[in-house]
Amino acid sequence: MNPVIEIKGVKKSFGAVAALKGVDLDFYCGEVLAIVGDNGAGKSTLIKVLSGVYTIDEGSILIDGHPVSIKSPKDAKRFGIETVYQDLALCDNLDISSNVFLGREITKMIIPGLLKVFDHNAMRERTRAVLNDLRISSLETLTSQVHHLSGGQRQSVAVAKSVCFDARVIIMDEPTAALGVTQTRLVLDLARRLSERGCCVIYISHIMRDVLETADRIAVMKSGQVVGLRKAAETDSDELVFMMISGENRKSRQ
Amino acid sequence: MKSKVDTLVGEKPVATVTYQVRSWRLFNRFGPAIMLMAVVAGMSIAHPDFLTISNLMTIGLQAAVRALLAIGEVLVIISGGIDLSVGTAMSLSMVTMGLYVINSHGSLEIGMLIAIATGVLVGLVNGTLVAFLGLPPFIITLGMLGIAQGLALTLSSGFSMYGFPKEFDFLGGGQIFGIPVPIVILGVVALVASFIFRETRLGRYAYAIGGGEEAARRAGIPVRRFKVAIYAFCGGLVGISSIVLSSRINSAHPGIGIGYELDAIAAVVIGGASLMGGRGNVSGAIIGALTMAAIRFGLNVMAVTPFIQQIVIGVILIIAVYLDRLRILQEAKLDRLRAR
Repeated sequence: MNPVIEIKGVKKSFGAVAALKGVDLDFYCGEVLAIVGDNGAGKSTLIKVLSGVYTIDEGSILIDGHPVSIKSPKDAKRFGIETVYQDLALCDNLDISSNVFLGREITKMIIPGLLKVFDHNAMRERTRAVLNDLRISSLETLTSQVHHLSGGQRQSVAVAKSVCFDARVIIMDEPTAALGVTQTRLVLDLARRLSERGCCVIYISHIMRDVLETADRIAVMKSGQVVGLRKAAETDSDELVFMMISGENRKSRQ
Repeated sequence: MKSKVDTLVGEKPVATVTYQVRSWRLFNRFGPAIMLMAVVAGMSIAHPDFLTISNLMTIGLQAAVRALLAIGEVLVIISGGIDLSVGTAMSLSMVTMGLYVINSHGSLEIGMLIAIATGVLVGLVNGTLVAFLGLPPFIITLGMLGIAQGLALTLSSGFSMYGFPKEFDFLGGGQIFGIPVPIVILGVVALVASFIFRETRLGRYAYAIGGGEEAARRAGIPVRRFKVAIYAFCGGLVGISSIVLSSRINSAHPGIGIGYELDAIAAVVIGGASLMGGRGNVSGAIIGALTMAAIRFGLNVMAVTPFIQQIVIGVILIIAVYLDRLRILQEAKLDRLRAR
């Protein structure tokens, strides 16, 4: 299978600080790829490069084998790359379907050529379909304002927002950082289900246990480089932590 | 019946919480209207002759200009901004219209377009400065308050302008089927504005920006461009208000607008909007303006001096905001309960 995204020799500096020092990584559809690393390892920079927040200094990004340049969040969305942020992702005062469709509302003409209005029903139906699809059943009403929701439910909405538009790549940036145990469960399950639907899920986290049970592959970053890549089934948290801290790609645990 | 709130609460049977949420939601929705009815009821008890159709028409007439301004102001406030310049910008719009219609003997129709264009222009400048300089709207529009006042006085040399054509009186003083024209204008504007607030990107994104500017930006909304549009919308209503007021006083007065901005803001707040942004609506803004007009009118009927009236309005404003704060605290508490 060909990778959906390939990044090759990607470098990004902020002044004198080299945040990414030549990163190579391939992403495939249908898998959860976790990126772990200590603070300042460059994982946030890496995903911001993919989601269009930063532009790269050197290297190349290939989507379906074609080199592309991602200059803005809009570009990223056009390439089917959606990002679920850990915070500040939703407007509290809008209802669920308004949030899901924010910035991409469905409209209908009521006076042809003259007057377009929101198609609330279409948006609600689509939102409901996506929530059902993701088996998010804890959100039965789409007209409640988002600030009435719990943290896990909010993350669900944020995820729904990203999958509603045929995203192929979904970046989840520490999606469980602010969540309790059951709500974390919900988000982890969602990540798995998205990959089963054929999405490429990029999952950033600090929490080794979550990463090991959710991801298919795990990339370990240290000082702006990928120092190791493991299949989740063939590693454990000791090895990951060792790589995160030492930056050595320890071959095995003999 | 399985209500919306019940389903959200989920597995726990929390009937009391649900009940409380519901009553607070109702209060949230109808609070301002209840306040208006309480004021009218109070006035009727104090003065049995208060509640007549003609008195209600007078209240509506007196509220019309402030309500029009409040409709523009509420969109700005929903988006998390504020516009302190609506009052003096209204004077400026009036003066530019007067210069064209009276001094240059231009046509009334074009004069009215000039009034609206002046308001929109002031709004565009406000919006552009707020969006692109990144300074607080309070400061920008406070500056604009002075600029518009100065321009209005300079252009008119400080004098009122008289001599609008006769037919102009109709807008402020005429009636359609027994209803004063300013109330009809307010009704039409309110319908159009409600539509804009609910069904168009301008309205939706104003709520979005007020509810979470960063989230709006990340959703790909061109936040700056919409801020400019929001202030311009407010400016358009300033223009319409200036036409109605000018017709009511049958002149263009360069100093009449000052103070209206505070009334508009007070009306918006009494109408349930939050100065933190994200909350408010057209009907609330109108109800707020009506409440203030009803209080003023009632106190007039009871021969309370304008000095005391100011105090009463001030007290009502503080009570309204306090009730709103109670509501927010209560709702936050209930949200925490249900989030468990």
